[in-house]
Amino acid sequence: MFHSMESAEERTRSLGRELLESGRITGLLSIIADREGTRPGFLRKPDEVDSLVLEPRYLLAPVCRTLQAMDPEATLGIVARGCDERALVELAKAGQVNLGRIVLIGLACEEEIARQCGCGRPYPRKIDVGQKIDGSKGNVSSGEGSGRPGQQLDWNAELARCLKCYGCRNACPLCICPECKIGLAMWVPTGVVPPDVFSFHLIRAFHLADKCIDCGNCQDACPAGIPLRELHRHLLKMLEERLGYVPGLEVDRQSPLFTDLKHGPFNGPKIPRWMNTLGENEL
Amino acid sequence: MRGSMEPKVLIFACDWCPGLGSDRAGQDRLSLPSGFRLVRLDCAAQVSGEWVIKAFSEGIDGVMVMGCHLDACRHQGANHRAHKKLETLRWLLDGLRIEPERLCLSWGMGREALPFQAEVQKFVSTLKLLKTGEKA
Repeated sequence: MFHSMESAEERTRSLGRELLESGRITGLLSIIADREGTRPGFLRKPDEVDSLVLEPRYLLAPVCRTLQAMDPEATLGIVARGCDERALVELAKAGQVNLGRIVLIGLACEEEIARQCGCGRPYPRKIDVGQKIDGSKGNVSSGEGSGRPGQQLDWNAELARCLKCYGCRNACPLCICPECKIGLAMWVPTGVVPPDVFSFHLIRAFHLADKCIDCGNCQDACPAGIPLRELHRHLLKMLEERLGYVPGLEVDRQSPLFTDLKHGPFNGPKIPRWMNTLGENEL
Repeated sequence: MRGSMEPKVLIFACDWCPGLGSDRAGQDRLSLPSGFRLVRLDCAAQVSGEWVIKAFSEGIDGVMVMGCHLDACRHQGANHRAHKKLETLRWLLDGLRIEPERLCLSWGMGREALPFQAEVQKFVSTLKLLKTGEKA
């Protein structure tokens, strides 16, 4: 087992080198550090692997999607943390990436990174490097156990700080619509800052309701420091409690918002008997 | 509608059941709240979250979505999906301290005028209660 940063990095490098030498992958996608700085990079040759680093955490899944769109035939290796893997799974469900042409090097996050991210699942399904640690259960800024996100938050005040920079949308690995509704004057009035709470924030949050993998990119990107993640965790809580679904975990399971009430659990508010003609046992 | 004290209600009604029910209610001259507008659709599942959100942002007090009985959808259980989707939206509204009661889901106004009238009146009275609660 590898406890220190150095050895985890070494192990990732050797795994990457093996993959490149065996020819299973066309190139390896990871964070690299060299004279030009630290950045996401694509390594094609085994001897380039020495520039691979693990920190800082940066979501590589969107880069992977871009690369695959450029060359659909290539098989990509990717150093994937838990959030990367979940993002890839959700992207695959949306038909944006082909998981058959992606080889994952599963990287479990160090305790410090996991704590900084407030991550609930800081590990991928198959761990190649590092050790699995338990994720934090609570919310980013407490609100633990309450029925609503951040019980102490005044959402009107929080959202009033919005600059409408679209940073949350641009940073999101799963905001993939070619034409975004929150950019259209039909749905969100243009020329107003802060934007209308209803249209801008609700439409964005609602669109991601069954996709959000809780990577925290939206909140990190927000220059006004709006706790957007609380909003998404609120929705995720509903998905888990009422529909028994966590985005990004199961490749084969469709979002429950696309299935009938009869398939899978539904613990929402009771549907009155006279509306429900399905028979008593079925709901 | 303008200037009246009645809550402004937007009703999205599926053409098959509640659409017929609302027509019948009108033909029978049933007394209905004055502040509602009804949009007839092919299926209640056409209602996307944005429509409801947009309606609220334009100042509508309450939105009703009406569809067929749960096993009587003409579009392969589309009303099930609509129900799940809009329940998600209600949960989100609740998270932002907006009363989820302002979005009412109702399945099964099958061609009947009286249940339609009752449902709309009940919803409007709920909205009136919310309004007085705000002022207090």
